[in-house]
Amino acid sequence: MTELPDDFDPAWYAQRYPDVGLSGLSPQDHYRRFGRHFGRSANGKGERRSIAERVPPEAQRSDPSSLPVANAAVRPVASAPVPIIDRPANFDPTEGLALPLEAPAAHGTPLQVSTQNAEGDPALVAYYRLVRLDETGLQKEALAPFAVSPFQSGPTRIENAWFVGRSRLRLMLAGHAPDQVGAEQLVLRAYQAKPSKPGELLPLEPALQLAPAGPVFHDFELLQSLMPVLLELSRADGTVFARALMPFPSLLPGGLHNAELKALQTQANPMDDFWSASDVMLREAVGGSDSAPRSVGGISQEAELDHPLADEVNEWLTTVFALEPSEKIGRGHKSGGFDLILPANAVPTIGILVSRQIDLGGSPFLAGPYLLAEAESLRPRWSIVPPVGEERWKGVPVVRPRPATAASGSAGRPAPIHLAIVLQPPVAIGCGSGSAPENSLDRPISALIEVADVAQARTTVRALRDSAGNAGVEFLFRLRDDSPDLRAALDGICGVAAWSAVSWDADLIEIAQSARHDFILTIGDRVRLDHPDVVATLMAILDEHPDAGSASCALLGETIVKRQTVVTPASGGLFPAGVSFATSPRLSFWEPDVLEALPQQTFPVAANTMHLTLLRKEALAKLPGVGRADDIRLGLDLIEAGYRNWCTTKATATLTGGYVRRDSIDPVGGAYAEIGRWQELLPRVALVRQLY
Amino acid sequence: MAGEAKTVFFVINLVQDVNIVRGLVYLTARETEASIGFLVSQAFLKRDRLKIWQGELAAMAAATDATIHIFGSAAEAYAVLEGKSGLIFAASESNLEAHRETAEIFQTAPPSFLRVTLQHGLECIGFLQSREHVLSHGRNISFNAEVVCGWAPASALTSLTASQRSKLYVTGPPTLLLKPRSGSDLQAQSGGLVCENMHSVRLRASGDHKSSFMGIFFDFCAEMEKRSEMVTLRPHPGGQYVLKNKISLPGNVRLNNRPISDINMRGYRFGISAPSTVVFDMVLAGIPVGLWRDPGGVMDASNYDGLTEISTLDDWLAFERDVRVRPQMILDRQDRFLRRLAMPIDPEEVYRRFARLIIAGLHGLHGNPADPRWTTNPAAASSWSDGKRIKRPAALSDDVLVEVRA
Repeated sequence: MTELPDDFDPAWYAQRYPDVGLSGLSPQDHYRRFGRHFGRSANGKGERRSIAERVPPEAQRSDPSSLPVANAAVRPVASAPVPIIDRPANFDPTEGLALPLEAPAAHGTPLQVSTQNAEGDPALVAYYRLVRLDETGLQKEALAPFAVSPFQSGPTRIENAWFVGRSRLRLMLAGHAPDQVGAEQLVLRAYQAKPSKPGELLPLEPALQLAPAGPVFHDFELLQSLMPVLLELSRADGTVFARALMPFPSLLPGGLHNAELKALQTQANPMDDFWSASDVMLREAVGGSDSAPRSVGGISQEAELDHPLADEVNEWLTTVFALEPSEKIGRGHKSGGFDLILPANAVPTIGILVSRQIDLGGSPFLAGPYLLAEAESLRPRWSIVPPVGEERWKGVPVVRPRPATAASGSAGRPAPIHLAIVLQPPVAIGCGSGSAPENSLDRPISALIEVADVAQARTTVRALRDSAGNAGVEFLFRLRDDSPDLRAALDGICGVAAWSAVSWDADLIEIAQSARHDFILTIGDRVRLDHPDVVATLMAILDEHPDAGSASCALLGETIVKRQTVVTPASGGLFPAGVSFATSPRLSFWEPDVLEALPQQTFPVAANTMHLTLLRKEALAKLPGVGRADDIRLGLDLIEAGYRNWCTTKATATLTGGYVRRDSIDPVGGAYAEIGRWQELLPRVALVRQLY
Repeated sequence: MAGEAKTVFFVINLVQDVNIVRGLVYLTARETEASIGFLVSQAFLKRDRLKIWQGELAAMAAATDATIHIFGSAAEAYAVLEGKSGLIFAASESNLEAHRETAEIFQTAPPSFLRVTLQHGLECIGFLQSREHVLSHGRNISFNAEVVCGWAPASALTSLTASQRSKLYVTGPPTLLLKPRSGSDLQAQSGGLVCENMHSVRLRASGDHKSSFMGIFFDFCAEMEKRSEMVTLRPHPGGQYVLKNKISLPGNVRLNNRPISDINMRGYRFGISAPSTVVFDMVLAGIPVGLWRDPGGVMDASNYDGLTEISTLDDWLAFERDVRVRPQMILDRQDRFLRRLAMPIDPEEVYRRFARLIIAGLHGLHGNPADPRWTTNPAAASSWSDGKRIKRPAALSDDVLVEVRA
């Protein structure tokens, strides 16, 4: 162990360097491991001073007393012997500062929004119409044409805006270019109304004297994170230079609806996208004199929204969309022919709330699509399109006609916009079977095991016996090398004559025909069943879905890297990914991270891999032959035969030895090259897109 | 609040981070009263096996009266940041696994901090990528930072994804803040400077170009030895290929492993490197530069179009001859290359832009960091280390692994 200096002072060292206490190490250990490498003092003798302290006042280039009080943090120091270039001769560090206005009067006074003061001001008219201050006061013609405001270009352009914390809106403005310094200085103010008093826009503190040079950062503490925000630039004499309305600030990063903006992004710059999407949604929201009523006239939630913004969501729905609470968790208003039914932990998108164009196409309801966002950061992650007409898939937002306007029909089609943003529940690792039944199988299965390693096969057999309990398992082994030694080893594992061998490349359908039981489990000896309920969970899926041809669960790939066990999300069903134009247009497939995209869900996929899948023998009997590894072909054939392939993240198993997820597989050939078949396939499976 | 004590933290995770933030550390000390702190990852200490950069960091901290905080997890970094406000700079932060430590700090940092990441090289993940970067890391790179300091406008940063463009603040290269070293170098100089970046994805993603480069380098040194010329080899600060692999060097090769800021590039007759930011540094230093590209022409060097390309030994020798007989031809090319780049390369302008950013950032965030509305959920920070959640790389590559702690 490294010796400490004789004059090491542990008390002084711990006090001088606060990270010592945080490290959990003793001052002595910390010094040995880190402090001496960083040249830290052992006892405070000979401590060096900062460069500022070392620079005599006469060496400073400008007089600190000449700086405004608000610039007290600026330290005009120059010519210190530091390894950076000198401060540019004509550079004044104070020129980059925007000044928050301290005087209460400078923040502005409340703006009473009325027909009189709104007329002629497009931003106020838009606000007036959006919060329905007076249904008859201002004519309901279309809003004024979209115009680029000073907030979208030039020195007062908002380069970026985002939420920090729950309701603090941070703006980054461009500021003047250096050659424009000296141009007119403007004051930036922001206003927002409380939901209970939408006609009174209150100034948000503090107002800001904009800087002559950029960038400018400024925080406004909002009264409510979802209510519209009015921005105002005014001249020194108090006259208004420009106003702009942020009708839906929650579309900004960190806001509750940013996932929606992200999913719809069409422009090169997200801020431009924010303004254009806001404009489109605002126009749809306020409509015109000949517009149809807004589609959604009622919202129901399976449970209360469990989110810090839940109360604000309710206030906002009432104030802006007139969706008055009608019961504990249901709400509605007179117009609008559809109910939006949301799962717990989901909020409606602005798109569906403002839409006047929902058409069910004759079907009784529309399920999804929806967006999945991280619950803590609200960051958008996934866009999920559930299968059309799938009512049993829990946790999916649905639009259905209100009782008075109920329509009937059967031809489903996906909704044209995301219906809701679902906040992602925490993802657990090694969760075993989650809500799976805590008992073993109640009927026997035939297990088709790929044997690559005898020791691993032994583990797999043991796990399957634990899973099956008294139900029994027929063991069928695919043998790559059918040697006497291997057979002897398998005799030792299963018992003599208690298993059957099938050749490595044998056709799955033929194997199924000779299997003794009605359910066939394909499993590789690399798969480790961490929880005995996994197979029972798959059986429960087949029981729940009579049209299920196969069922699988999420697999985690496990490898050892640098003596550590590392796990990656591996397989969890194959999903349509896109279209390949390598030859004729063909569907391609991929394996997204389903533990993240579809947590605690059971969902229909295009195909399950052969690593761990429970198959219905009756379904296999209807198929043509399929090879050992031809999983996509098997899945698609099952769908064509009228079955479905289900996968679940309510249970997981482990795939030892690592797994490279298949990405954009270029794809099955043959019959599935026909575009017409896509129409049959795509509405019957979940579609998943990663937003970033 | 104006006048409230603020702190500017610099996250040090990769060894090259030290040099990227160096100028900003001194600029912060000169232009503001903010406290300065370094958040140093345990991974950095492991990476800096030769302890070169720890020494540099210590010197910087001593000169600016900065505190140094070593962290092993985001929760530990959060404990340092909690209750404070100001700015956090990182020289390497993105959703790549290699940047995980920094990304987690940015994800959990209290909102009382403005989070800023820096483009750390001419070609840089998420800003301007080569084809080899794309092959290794994908295209869809994002940042947790709220402000990303790029060297050039968005139109020139072809790898800055649309979702990140509103975060861009064009500063130019932060290394231009450093005084160019002049006068005698800390070690003897003569002949040319050859820089190796064998660890780079560029030398492996589209084929194994390492042996090709080293083979030609050895042949070139042999030719130089015939004329009794010395050659200086500079290992990449992070890669240290020749040292880690204990490669024995010819007798006329001198190794220079000093930090780049300690090297007087102008003291060398010429420079040679595979595509790397050091090429840009040498061009700025005004010495003739040979851009090595694999003889097969597989390697992507399109971001350096216009510079003198050399591949084979004959090319190297012809370049060395041109440096002797008509250096201006090469330097003229380099001037055209610099003019074509739409980036601020006037150090004073770079100084102004960074100074404005730091001062505006320190003054623009209002509120009391002790206010609960300013705090994120500490549980979120600690959840990274509790081992109960899957830690996911957001990178697209399938070979990125996720660590699980018991």
